Amino acid sequence: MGDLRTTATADDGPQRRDLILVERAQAGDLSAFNDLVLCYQDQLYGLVARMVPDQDQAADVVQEAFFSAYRNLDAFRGGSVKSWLSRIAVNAAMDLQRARKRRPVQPYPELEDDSWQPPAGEEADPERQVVTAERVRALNSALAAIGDDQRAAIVLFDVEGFDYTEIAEMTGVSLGTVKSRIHRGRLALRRCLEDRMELFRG
Amino acid sequence: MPALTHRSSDHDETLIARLAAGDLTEAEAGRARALVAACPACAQVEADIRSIIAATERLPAPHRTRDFRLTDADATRLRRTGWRRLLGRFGEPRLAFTRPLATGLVALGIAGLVFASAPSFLQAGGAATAAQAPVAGGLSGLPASSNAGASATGIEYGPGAAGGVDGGEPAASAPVPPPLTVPSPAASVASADASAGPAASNPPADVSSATAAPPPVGIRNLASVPASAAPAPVFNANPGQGKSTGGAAEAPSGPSALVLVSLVLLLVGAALFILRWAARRAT
Repeated sequence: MGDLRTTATADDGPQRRDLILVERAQAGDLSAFNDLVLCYQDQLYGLVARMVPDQDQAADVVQEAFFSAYRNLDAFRGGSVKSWLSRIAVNAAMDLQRARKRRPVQPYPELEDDSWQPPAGEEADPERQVVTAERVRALNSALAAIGDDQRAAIVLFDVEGFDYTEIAEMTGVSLGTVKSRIHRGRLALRRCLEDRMELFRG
Repeated sequence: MPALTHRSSDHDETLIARLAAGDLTEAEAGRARALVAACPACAQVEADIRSIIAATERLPAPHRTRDFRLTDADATRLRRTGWRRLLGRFGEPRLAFTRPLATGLVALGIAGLVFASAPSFLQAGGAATAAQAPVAGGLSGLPASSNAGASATGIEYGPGAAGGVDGGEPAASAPVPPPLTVPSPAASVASADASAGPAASNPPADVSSATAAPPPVGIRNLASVPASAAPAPVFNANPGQGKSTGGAAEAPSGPSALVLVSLVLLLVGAALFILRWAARRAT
């Protein structure tokens, strides 16, 4: 296999670091792979937890995504390691969602994350904190209520910051479909939040 | 500019959402801005979408509940060796073309099998209908019952047997149908089974020397012989010669090359499907 570092499109530190770690992991160095896990487990969990609002299931999906990445290290052909790992995680999350559709169970619970606290400082005002917490709760609830595809597209675009092309590659659909899912998803969010839009206005 | 109605439900909300995301061409943006300027509800939609985008971008990250690093045991379990490594190659993206290839091979195989089996069906069906008219015409001098019997058994009365027909006419004047009027005995038997009903169980009526003789042994067996391989039978009351008619059934009737090729395509396509499925499960 050629030197993966030569495939880096940007001369940025994290990208070069990732490619070096991947090369070492491909050579059988488990600690190098675990360094990659340390770099990306928070980001992947955040991504998957938005798509699969059940926390235990989200954790299982992320673990399975890292297993799959390790098994398929040889299939990595360069480029962004973050995108590669995210694609694996998104596919694992979508597989789970499809399985849920085949075997309907309870709807997703509203994502509760009590560990999160609003940052101190300017927003330390208690009233402001309550409003912010309520806004987060309402938005999470609305995200859990919209369609799986729309939710995935919005999380990848608005929360994770991927661009349309990257999302199209990750989800295996056309650019137009990605855009359509994002725009329609936002309108669906607005409909879900209709009664609580005051939280977001002003 | 299109005339605007006052109901925002008539307006294109997706256009407004795209405007809020800055995802419009110049022409579309002009139309969307006009809509927002003229319709307060549309303006509210745009403002709400912008608020939702901002709030979504600021959503706090959920905290993970476990460490996802792999243990040595995980690594050993996940490391591919031997056949799993080979199998895994089928799941790689660069071999994604195997899926449409498998679909194509299976489709070709099925089409080939259908195509190979269609001519025999068509020929059998066509021959069955064609056979009845000449046989009936050829035995027009016979009583209805014997005519039905002849048709029913699919036996043709050739020149040698004509004299034995007790139709009230001398052998010389008996109508002699051309020897190839019945293209396939299988077709005649098939038509007999379908149309003659009880008559099919009777031996050919009024056949003098054949009255006591059982129906030719080979007649039923001929049903399985391809129409092209079987000669037109000439009725012979001698059971021994009836066996020679049955000998026609022993003509080579193996599967054609088309069937074999179709089967191979089908099997290869199915194998590719299974390999890809197993590879994806393994990954």
